[in-house]
Amino acid sequence: MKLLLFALLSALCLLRVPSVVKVAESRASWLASMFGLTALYVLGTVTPLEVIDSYLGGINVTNLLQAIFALLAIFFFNDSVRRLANVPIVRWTYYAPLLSIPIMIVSFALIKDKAPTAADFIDTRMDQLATATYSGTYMLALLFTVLRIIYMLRHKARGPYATFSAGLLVVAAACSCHITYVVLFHFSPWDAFAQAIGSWFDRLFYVGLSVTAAGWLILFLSKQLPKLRLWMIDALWLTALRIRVNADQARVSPALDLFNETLENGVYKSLIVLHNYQRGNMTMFPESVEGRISKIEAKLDAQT
Amino acid sequence: MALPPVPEKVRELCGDGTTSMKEVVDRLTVICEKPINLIEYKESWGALTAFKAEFEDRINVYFPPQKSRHYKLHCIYHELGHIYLESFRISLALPDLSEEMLRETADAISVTCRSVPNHPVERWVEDFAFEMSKKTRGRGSSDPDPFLS
Repeated sequence: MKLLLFALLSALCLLRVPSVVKVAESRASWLASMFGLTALYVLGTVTPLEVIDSYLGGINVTNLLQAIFALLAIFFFNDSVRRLANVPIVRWTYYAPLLSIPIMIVSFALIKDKAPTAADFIDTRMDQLATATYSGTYMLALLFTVLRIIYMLRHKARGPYATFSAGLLVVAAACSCHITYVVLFHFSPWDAFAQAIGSWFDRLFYVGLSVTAAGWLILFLSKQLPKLRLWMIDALWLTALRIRVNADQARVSPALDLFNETLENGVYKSLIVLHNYQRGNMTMFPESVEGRISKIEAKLDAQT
Repeated sequence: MALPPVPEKVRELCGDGTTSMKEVVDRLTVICEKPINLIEYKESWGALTAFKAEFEDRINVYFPPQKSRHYKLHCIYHELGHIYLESFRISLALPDLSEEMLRETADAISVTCRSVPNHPVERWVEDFAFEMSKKTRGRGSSDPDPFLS
């Protein structure tokens, strides 16, 4: 099941490649999903954690990589939201989370007795200052970025964005729990209390991520479904016509245009290719086909 | 022959927002320092979709009457792409008749030619036309392109 889900997510990322190459605005969100996917992989969702870590020396480097990839995913996600909310780049808040990466690498290197590979690598070494610095820095950077995203979306807190922001608030609460745990465990005598707070991290983090993902899905569907309903049938019909009459005379299938930027642009391209075909071959389509093409063009006109 | 990236050149010509054909023609007129005339030509066109002819004092873009407004605009943008690309003054190995060939064939009744199929210049100007269509289709319904109406 995990493998199937991972394969599906990977396929979605690959399908977006043509649009990412052409549309600069979609690159940040694509990079976010790629890093998120890599973080999921390093977490051991597909290949067992022990197997991945054994290739990296069996000293929990996977933990560091997972943290870095997750941080990069949230960094690019933040950039994607920034573009959506039309917020200009403020250099120190934009790049600050990335500064945590060298700190994490150095503090990770300073952790003693890093072997063997373990999912609870952090908790079992929390008595070391290096572990506290590593884990605390990671969580601070995550919390900072998540709070920044919530702040950027503050004016859109109602409607479809509400679920999204609510999920991020829960993620922020999870990060806060972990930071409190790190500080209390390392700098106070209340170890048991610290662990009780720390134990909330996993629950809150994954609930928060699930709500955020649901929010993203709601947003995606609310934006894409009307467009899909409007253009999908026409796009498929025009593509089928291009294939049937061999209008492109190219090895690359016209079906690839369905993934090319937007459906509307794909429809436009198909119309031009079919007109070129008619001109080039001095031919006309049957009346019924011509009628349908004219209707699609009228629809395209109505959209502009 | 290295041609500049189309989206970059379109951005240089029209900026980041939307545009209209009138704005594009006006900007190209300034770049070429010659007026550009768009002429709907009703005679027999065969398989041709549009062509441009440059004179000492003007550039004419000829296009046939078309039922489809989108296709008509696309064919014109294709020719405007040629005009824009030629303004870069880079060595293009264009599939055009040279000045000498034009002089040689000045009295000819008809001229046919063969060029390399799928020429990079043709691909560039076709991509230019597609990019321009996105920028003009992006206009709101309250501001339709009035140029050919």
